[in-house]
This record gives sequence, C-alpha cells and structure tokens, in this order.
Amino acid sequence: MKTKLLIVGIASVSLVLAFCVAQYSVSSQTNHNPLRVDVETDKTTYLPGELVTLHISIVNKSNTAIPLPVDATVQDGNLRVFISKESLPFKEYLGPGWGTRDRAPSKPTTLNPGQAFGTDATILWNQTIETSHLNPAYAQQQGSERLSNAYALGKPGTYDIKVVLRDPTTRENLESIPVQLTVAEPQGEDRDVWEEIRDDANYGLFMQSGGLLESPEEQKTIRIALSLENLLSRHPNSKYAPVMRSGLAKRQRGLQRPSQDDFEN
Amino acid sequence: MKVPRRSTDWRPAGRTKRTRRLLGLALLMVTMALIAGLVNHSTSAVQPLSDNCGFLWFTPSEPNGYQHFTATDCSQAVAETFSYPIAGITPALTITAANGRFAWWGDWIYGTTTYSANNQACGTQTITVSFSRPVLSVRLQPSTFGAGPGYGSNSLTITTSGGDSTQVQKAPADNNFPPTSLTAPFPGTAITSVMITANDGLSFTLGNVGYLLPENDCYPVKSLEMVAINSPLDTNPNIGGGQRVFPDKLTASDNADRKRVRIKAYTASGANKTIYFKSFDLDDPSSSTSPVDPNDSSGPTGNDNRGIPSSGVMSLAGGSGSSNTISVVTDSNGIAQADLSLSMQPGDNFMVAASADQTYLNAITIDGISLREGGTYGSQLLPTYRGQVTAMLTVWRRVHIEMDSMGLVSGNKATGKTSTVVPHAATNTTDITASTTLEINRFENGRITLNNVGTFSVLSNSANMITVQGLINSVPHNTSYTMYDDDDFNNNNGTNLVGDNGENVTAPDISLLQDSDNPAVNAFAVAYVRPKYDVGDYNDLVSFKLNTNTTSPANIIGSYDFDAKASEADNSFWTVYLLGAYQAWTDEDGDPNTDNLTLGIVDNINGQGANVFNELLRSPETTITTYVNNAATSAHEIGHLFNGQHGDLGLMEQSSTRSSTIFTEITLNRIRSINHP
Repeated sequence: MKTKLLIVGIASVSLVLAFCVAQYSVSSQTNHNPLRVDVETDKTTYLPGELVTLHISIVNKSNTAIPLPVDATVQDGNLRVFISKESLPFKEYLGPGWGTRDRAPSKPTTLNPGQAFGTDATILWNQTIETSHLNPAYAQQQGSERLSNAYALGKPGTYDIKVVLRDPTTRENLESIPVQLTVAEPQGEDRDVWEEIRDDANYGLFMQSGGLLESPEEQKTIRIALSLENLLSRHPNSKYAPVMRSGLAKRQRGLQRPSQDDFEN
Repeated sequence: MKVPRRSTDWRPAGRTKRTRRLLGLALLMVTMALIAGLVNHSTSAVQPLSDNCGFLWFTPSEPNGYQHFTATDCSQAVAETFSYPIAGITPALTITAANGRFAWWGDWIYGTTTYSANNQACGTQTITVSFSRPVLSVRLQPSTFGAGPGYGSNSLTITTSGGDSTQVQKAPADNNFPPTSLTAPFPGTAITSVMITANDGLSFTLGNVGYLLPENDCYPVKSLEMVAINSPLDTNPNIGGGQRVFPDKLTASDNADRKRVRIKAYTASGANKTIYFKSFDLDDPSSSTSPVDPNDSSGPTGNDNRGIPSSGVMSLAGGSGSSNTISVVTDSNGIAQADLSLSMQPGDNFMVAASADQTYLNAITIDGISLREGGTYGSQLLPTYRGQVTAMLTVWRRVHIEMDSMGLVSGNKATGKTSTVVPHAATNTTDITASTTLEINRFENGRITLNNVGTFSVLSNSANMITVQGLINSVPHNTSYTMYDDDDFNNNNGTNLVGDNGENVTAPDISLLQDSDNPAVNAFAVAYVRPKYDVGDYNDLVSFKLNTNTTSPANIIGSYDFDAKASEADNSFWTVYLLGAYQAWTDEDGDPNTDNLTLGIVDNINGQGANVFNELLRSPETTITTYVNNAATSAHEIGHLFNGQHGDLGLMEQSSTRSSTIFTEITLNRIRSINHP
C-alpha cells in the first residue's frame, strides 16, 4: 500500500514538473527573444485603395547589445506582412518587389539595449498567386498561404495586420502584436474615385510603386498614368489624391533619375 | 468386347549398376527437357488453367462406333485420321494417331493403344490435333486408361506447330497427366496443330481438348505501347524511371498539340474487339512528405498530380475526351488505339491500363508507381493476363531563358577641376576640394589622376572633399582630375583602377542552369524542368547602366532588353529573362564599403526577369564561396521567378546566410505548382 502511494506520488510530482517545464518553455519561447517587433500605422481608418504605411520597429528589449540582421526589410523578404479580415486566418500580403533582393553577407547592425531599427512598408496592391490551373488540393495548399485579393484592403471591414521577422541567422520567427485598422466605405467624391480604380488593381500598383509590371514607357503604364492624372485633376481634394500624386511623382522621378528617397518599401 | 489384360508388373527384373546410371542420366535429361519446355513458354502473366474464359472444348469420339484394339504385337499398330466438324471452327479439326490405332474404351476417350498383354512400346506413339484455322491457345489433359505400371505412358511431349514444347510426367499412381496449356507467343503466329508424343512409346488417351479462337479471347490485350505523337518520348532520368515527355510548345508560335501520346493495345483477336483504356495518376515518387507530396501520410498514394485533370484525359485517337476512360474497338490488325492528354505541371505522372474487361479496369487501384488488381479479381500487380499497362510517363517542362548582358562600361568615374589642395604632413594625406557633388565615400579605395601631377589612392571622400594618400604640395588651380572608385568586375585592373571603362560586362554564370538532367549542373532538374537557351538574341551590348534602378519593379524591368517578352505569360511556353548587369542601386553597390551589397534581384516574385550584378559577385567585394557566387545567384534569381522565396531556405536563401545550392522541397513544390514563371 505504501509502495503504491509512493509510486502515485512520484508520478504526480513528475506530471506537475513536466507541466511547469512546458509552461516555462512556452513562456521562454515567447519571452526569450531579446528582440521585439512593433508595428503601427498613421491612422486607424482608411478607405479601400488608400495606401497604408506600416511603421515597423525592431527593438532590443534586452540589457545587452545584440546584432540585427541587416536585411530586415520587406524587400529582402525577412520581414513579412500578414493580414486577417474580420478574424479570419492570417494570410500573407506580398507587395510589389517584396522579397526580391539577394543580399551578400555583411557585418550586421548592432542594436544597443533599448535601441530600435526602423523600417517602413506600404500596403495597397497585393501580388496574387494563380491557382486555377491546379487541382483542388494544390490550389488550396497554395492559396491558403497568400492573400487572394489584388487590392489587399479592398473591401470595407476590420483588418488585423501583423509583421513577422525571420532572423536568417537563427531562423526563428518573431511576430508583432497585430495592429487593427478599419476600412470604411468611401463617400461622396472619394466614392467616385474608388469607383474608377477599384476594378483594375493596376491603379493600386501604380500608386504604390510608380509603375506597373512592365517597362516605365510601355503603353499600359502611360495609359494608367494619364488616367490617374485626369482623375487627380478632377478630384484634387479626394482622400486618394496624396497616393495618386505620390505614384505619379515616383514615375516621373524614375523616368528622370530617381533619388534615394524612392528607395522605400 | 474384349478387355485388355492389365499387367501387374511391368518392371524388368534385376537392375544392374550400369542400368542405374543410365536411368539416372535419363532422369536428368527428362528434367532438363522439362525445364527447357518451361522456358519455351512466355514468362509473362499467364491465364490460370482454371480460367476457361473463351475456351471451347471438344470431346473427340469414335465416329464409327467404338473400336478397340488389342494387340499382342506391334504389327497391328496403324495410323488413323479422323476429321471432326467442331462448332466454331470451320471446317474442322483433324486428329491423327500415328503408330497406334485409335481406340475407344468404355470410360476413356480417344487414345492410342499398342496395348498388349505386356504393355509393349511399338515405336513413337503420337496424336496430332490440327486446327483448320489458327487458335491462340490449346489446353490438354491426356491420361492413361489406368494408373500404375502396365496402363500406358508416363511421359509425354506436347509440341505446337510454332515449335513450343513441354513435357509432362504422370505419377505412376495417377491416370491423369497434369493439365497443360500451350499459348502461341505474341507477337507471333497462332497455333495450327498440336502433337502429343509418348516419350516411352506407350499408349495414352487424348482426353478433352480446349482451344481458344482469336475472337473468343477474353483477355485479348497482350501488350500496351505508348507512342509519341508530336512530342518525343525518352527515358525519365528522375526517380521512378519510366518515360518522359515535354508537352509544351517548341516555340512561342508553335500550335501543335504536344500534350498527347498515343496508346496502342495489341491483341491477337482481329477486328472489332472492344478494349477499355483508363489512365491513372500515380504516386509522386520524388517525395513522400508535404508540401511536395502531401497525401502520403499512410504510404505512397496516387492522385497527387498538380495539373487538371490529374489523371489525364483519354480519347479516341485524334479525338477529344472528357474523362480518364475510353473504349475503342480493334482494327483489322487487332490493334486498338487511344490518346492520353496530359497535364502541364512538371512532375505529374501517369500510367494507362487496358483490358477487355471494363469491370476489371475499374477495380484497379494505384499502388505507388504501379497499378494493382482489385475487387474480386485478386491483388496482383499489373501487367496480368487480364490487363496490360504502359510504362510510367512523367511530364517535364522547359524554361526558355533569354540571356543578355550589359555592354561596354562607361561613365564610371567622376571628373572635375581642383580648387583647393591641402596636404597634411601629420597623416601623410592630402585633401582635394571636388568641383562636383560626390556620393559620400563612394571613391574610397579608388584612384584619382591629377592631370600633369600624378595618380593617387583615394582614402575617402565627402560630398565635396577628396582625401588621398600622400602629400601633394603643388597643384595648379583648376587642375583637371579623373577619379575612379574600386570597381573592377573582372579583377583585371589591379591597382590601375579605371572603373572598368570600355570593358564588356559578362553574361551570368549558368553553371547551375544547364540544359541537362544532371542536378549537379541544373538545379531545376529535380523539379522536372530543363532550362533552354533558344530565345532572344544573346545581346551582350544591352544598354549599360552603372547602377541598375532597383527602386521599383517597373524600373528593374526597364533595364531589360527582353525580346521574347511576348511569351512571358504563356503557360505553354515558359520564358524568362536573365541579364548580366553591372551593379545595383547606389546604396547597394558596395561603394562605399559600408553599403549593403545586392548581388541579384528580380523585378517581382514570379516576375519577368532577373539582374545578376557582376561587379559585386567577386572577391573582395563579396566573399565568394561554394554557395555565394555568380552561378548560385543566377539560379537563385530564376528560382524567384518560379515563386521561390528566401524563407524556403536551400538555394533560395539569401546569400547572406545560404548554405546550399539545392532547392528545398518548399521551392520544388512552388516550381512544380506554377502556371508560368
């Protein structure tokens, strides 16, 4: 009888210990990374087709200086953006030119305690993935990972956006707490503008990057540019005016000699 | 009716040692003959003797009432021939007995007899069954009229008109020889006669004879062949073997249907035999885990092709179909032909089965890269006598890479005139005021030439000041200078830096993008893709850009001279662009050394083309390793055009942390799932 009690007791203690270790492990996983990723937006309410700028900070929350992978940007592909609409599963957003830059090894930046590395990323046009040629299982596999709308935030509703930093050295992922924003139904003049651009996501691509997926002097680009110029001239005070101006300006600079300011995400 | 007397003991008395040796030798010879007889038959799937499907049977009977022949010596052995009109054979079968008259006994049918009280052999006893038109197979079970010694032969040789033969032995305690089937080889001539010979010259009975007319063959499909139509077939070099086909266009303007292969079922049944074809999506042998093969959790499982329809489409030859099954009748040569239309995704694999039994075909299941019988038919792997299969056929794709390189380097310098020149003896340096605005420290480790003064190493520069090594004490005002940074894309200038002026930028290194099946030189081979270099004009004088504008996809595309871009989005003719460029944008070009280095870039994931930056893919700008070099960068960038991403790791990992030149399964899955790069 005493032996049985002893065995039960040892087993119980073991179970408790294992639970505590697991808890510690989970907690450690959550807390052990000396970095933290923060993301914020300029405002909380947007219109569909409006440019959303994410201000991303990678913070050293430890007491020691630590290296930061220098290619911690969306263009390098180590910062990834995920969007969830109305609490649906998060799917990856891929902006124009994201994840395309192959960087050579170099000395990483060091973040001192409390120091942050900042970078921006914009959300407007989403690169969709073709799946109609695939059988349903693979279409679902490929499509389940990526956002399927060409305008990433093209429908009114509530969206949660999170940023995931992949450390290429440790290959660990570090997620930000999602930031929430609302996409509202455009009204009045804004609605007029949206009605003209919403069915062709090339407008979004142009406004975000200053061009399309073709050479800057190709016909479709010229057509979109002229169309936006016309739209801007008719609606100079629309909430879309800044992003239209920005896109047109980027294109102009690209045709001349772009400045370093254009090197943004 | 006289009853033949049956000897109770036929064995000769008193065996000698020599006799035993002779008997042993005879036994050995009989065994070898048996083996030879077995080898003469096909080793392919054989219809079981218990399966009489299609066979007709006749029981020869004495046409003139019974005769029996009891001989006391061999002089009474004679030959006899009888013809029989047999249903299904026109005009008849003919049965001939040689060296022995036919006899009919009450309970045994049709045999020879040289029976005598001593069961004597009287020469070679033979019965020949001749068919007035050829048959595909004959079944026999000869016997003797009793078991044991004294009741006739124990050893027969059965030979077809085609020369196939087999020997059958009867156990002394048995009066039946083993059932024997002889089948005409395919292809080959059918059987016109069968001769049964008693090796020991003693009597035997013919028994019932089964025969298979060509039109009655229940299992007519003897072989299945896959034949190229518009796309050649060759050996699949990847795991699983079988055959390979490239169903894509040969050129951008090609309009031939190259997705089809012809399937031919060969029968010996003549015309109008209905044959059923069915295509199957075999298991992917290249992987058993997700994401490449996500349905193998319980073992190799088919129905994992990416394209649609995943099992392919069967149709009449030259026709169109809507499912993976079709029925076709044979032509006058006994051949049934159908077409299999394939999907377009690389690595998709197929197998076609054919049978005259549709239920059998529908019961077949996929077993890895084989097909297996199912239902009530058993569980053999195909091919069986009921169904034949083709080899596994795997889809491969080509990616046509238009490869160019930038032309002669120009303008990689700064020029101006001096205003102030200030030497600093303490540091052995001299500061020179620049007459143009400079990118800060772009020219560090570069070289400046002051006209009529000399050449000096540049240590650093600000926006308007140049610091050189050494002391320059006397420089006329407004002395012209030419200044170069440390660029030297082919490392041929040494200390005499000239900004590569006038040198032709080289093409990308395609050591890992070879038109080859060898994964060591074609990183895409394991994804069932072959690079081709048959589009564009190999322009090695593409407009030179000192710094490729990488600020947007459009600006990157603006650097291309993509002649074949019209087919860039053609899913039947994969086309991409690869440019040997100089260096990336001004803050990514390693000038100054604190700059990041971008070694390569595409315009977009799944975009049109790629730049590979020669000036940066060299030592000492970049530490060149097995994984970080021009070839790896070129293959990596093309991988982006197939949706590959840095997080896939393997060859898709950024050069900053790459430790492999092989695509991971994540990337392989992306490559094989793409519509077009």
